[in-house]
Amino acid sequence: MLTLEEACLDTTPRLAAISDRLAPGELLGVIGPNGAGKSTLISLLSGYRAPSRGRVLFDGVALADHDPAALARRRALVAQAEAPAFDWRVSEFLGLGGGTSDGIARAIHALELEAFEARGIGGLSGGERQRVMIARALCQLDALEGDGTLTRLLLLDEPNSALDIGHQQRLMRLLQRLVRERGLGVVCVLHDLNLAATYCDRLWLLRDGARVASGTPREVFANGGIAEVFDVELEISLCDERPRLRLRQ
Amino acid sequence: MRRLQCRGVAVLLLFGLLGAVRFAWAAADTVVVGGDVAEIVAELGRTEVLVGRDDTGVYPAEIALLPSVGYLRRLSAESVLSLGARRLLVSDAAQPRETLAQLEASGVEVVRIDAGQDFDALERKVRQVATALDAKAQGEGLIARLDEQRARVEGLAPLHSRALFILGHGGAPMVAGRGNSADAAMRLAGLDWRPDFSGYKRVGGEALVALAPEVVLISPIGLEALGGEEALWRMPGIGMTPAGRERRYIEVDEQALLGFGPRTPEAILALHAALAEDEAGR
Amino acid sequence: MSGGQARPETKVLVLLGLLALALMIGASSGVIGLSPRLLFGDWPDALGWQVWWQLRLPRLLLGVLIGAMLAAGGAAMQGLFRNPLADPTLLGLANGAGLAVAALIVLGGGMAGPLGLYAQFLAGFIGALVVSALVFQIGRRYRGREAVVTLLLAGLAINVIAGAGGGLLAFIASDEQLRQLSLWGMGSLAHALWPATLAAMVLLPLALLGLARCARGLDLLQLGELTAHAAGLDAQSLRRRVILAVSLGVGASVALAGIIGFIGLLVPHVLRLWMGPGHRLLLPASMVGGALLLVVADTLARTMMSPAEVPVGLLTSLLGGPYFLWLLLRRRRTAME
Repeated sequence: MLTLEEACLDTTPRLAAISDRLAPGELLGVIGPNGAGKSTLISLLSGYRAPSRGRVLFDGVALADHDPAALARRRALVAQAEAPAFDWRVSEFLGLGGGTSDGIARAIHALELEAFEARGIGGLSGGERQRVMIARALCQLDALEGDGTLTRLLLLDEPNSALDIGHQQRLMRLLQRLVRERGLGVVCVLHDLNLAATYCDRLWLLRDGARVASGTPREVFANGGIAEVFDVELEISLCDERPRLRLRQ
Repeated sequence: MRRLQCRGVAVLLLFGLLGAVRFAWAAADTVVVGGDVAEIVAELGRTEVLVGRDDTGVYPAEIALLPSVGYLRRLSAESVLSLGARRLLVSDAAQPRETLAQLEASGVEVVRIDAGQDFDALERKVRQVATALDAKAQGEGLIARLDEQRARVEGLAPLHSRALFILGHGGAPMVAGRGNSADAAMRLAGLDWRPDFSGYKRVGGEALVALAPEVVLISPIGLEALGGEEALWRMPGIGMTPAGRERRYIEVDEQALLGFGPRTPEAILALHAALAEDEAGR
Repeated sequence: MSGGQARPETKVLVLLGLLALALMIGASSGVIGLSPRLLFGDWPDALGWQVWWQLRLPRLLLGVLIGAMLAAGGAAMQGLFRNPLADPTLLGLANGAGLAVAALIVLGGGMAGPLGLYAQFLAGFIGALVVSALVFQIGRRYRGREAVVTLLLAGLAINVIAGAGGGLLAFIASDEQLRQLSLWGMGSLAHALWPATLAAMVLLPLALLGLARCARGLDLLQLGELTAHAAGLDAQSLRRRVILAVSLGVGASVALAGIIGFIGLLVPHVLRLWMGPGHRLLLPASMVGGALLLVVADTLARTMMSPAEVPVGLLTSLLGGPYFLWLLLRRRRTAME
């Protein structure tokens, strides 16, 4: 669904050329240290920034050439947590990007928001607000319905940064379900490498605005590159065919 | 623009003239502040002692030609001192008080003149100015003349017009209520009716209709500031008043009428005459 | 915050009802008393009719239009800046428009008649446009709490500059120009005559319609620019449309009635508490609420101290100033919690 052809950004922050494809039904994790260009990559993939050179195609058509309203039903984004200026009621906020009342009800259920539905968004905790943001993006795509016939892309920038460990796990499982059952393509920036290794089908490792590794978690974690990129001492083991990382004491 | 240039040339000439005068008598050392006070000085025939005036001193022409030290209520000590003044004849209406204190501290003799708005005050003003300028005889002569006019003013027959005084210069048109100099002058002219508020206030269109003035009193300057007679009758609401319907207005010399200087009694008599004629013609 | 029990449409209807009531009271009260029966065809005498038709009606209409414009303009600016304190007066738009109108009066020579009126509209529009573009450039460099302070400081600076410029113009102005200057400086509807009101009836609904069409875009923008873009928003076009409509409306309002402050802050804020921040409801509700506030305030201005008149800008500032302070204090407290 999403094709990058030598797409790069010359602006600051810059991003070196990437060529790759994201298939429907794929959960792609983006990892890398602070300032590696992960958020910049997300804004490139969503079409907010146009590539300086190369192309970013969605279903074979450059992102900028899609009708914005039609594209909005097929591509949604959860940005890094930013508190809204006004005190929206959660149920109202969920409908902001469009979406049916059924879709909103499904999203409320999927992210366990029943208790906050009637409350103001300003009174929520950071983690609660993050779940509302994710639910809103799901409403926009009607992501909890349909199969893979309509290509849909969900971009998430550190969606779990404020979530407790239980919600982190449930979020990753939800994303997996969206990918498997609904055929979405999901790109998710993650800081927790174990989470990325456990749930993602594929990983991109970024460093200083360049992609330095890509492949399955096993491939990306196989050589010692990951430890060098993050400048840590790691022990990598395998558990259920997935790499498992531990900081060396 | 041209007027300004003319004025500029005239002021330059006058500077030269004053220089000569000062050289001759070495007595020109006084700045006069307050239009009424300046007029009294002129009436007493002592303009030769003046080196400056304030913005309200615009009559007679010889006063208007003097360099100005600024506006009555925004006096600055420096502009007074820059004219080399050693004496200040200043109306009690002048502001700020601190400037006067500064001037006194700088060795300038500050003579305060009464700022009242009735005939008794006018008489006091003349006496104070005459004393300061050492012109007692002329002062008594002027007082005698004013007394005679005062008697005529006090004998004026009462008028019945609803006359509305509109102050037009600088700023939105304001209407005169009670307790101001317009009120005092109009009462002396025999006018009894006035809008029921104090000072000068903005009045809306409807209120104007409700006041139902029969004649408008306005100065030529005020009329010009409004944009001429047509603009006066275009003011919201005024077209629906008796005055507006018949386009009755009387031009008054604001400075003479409201200043309570030597021309005020005459101006009151003139206003009375104009109003009486207006009433008779209705 | 609770949205209350009533349906949102009902709340707008309540506002409309209040506006109708205020208009009825406004139409029947004044120095010359006219009874409400007038509205049902029981015409008064010729003079009463003339007063009503020539003075009161254009004034009420102008109050409705300008009040609606100022409040909706405030709501839209607040949505655009994502900042509840962004008000056309506080940000300097009104003063920028005022300075431009003053410059036209003093430097452009006296232009009388309808041509002069439209020239003043144009000047007000350009003044407001320049200031909004400037403020926006300053405002978008910052985010969050910093942006609030920066915006307010920028507005303050612009207001100081406009004030100084106005003072300078007043200094070089002739007497007649001074009178015209004071017209916009005071903030009053006292100069409402039919020509001005008719012009407002053409221009302001245009600006209001433009704003109403921005409602969905403003809602989306609340997601943040990046997320909003992914949800289909062209933020740049939205920004252009809001700034154009607000500048047009505020410029025309200032040219007609001078600077009437705080309506754009007060009305949207109160309504947001009552019916939530969604612009599809907030914008129309603000229009009705702003009209309501200005009509009530102007009726008070006309009648409170009659026959003398209080400038209505004074009344709205008297109400809005303390509210603004309270808002600031409240923000501070929530920030510390």
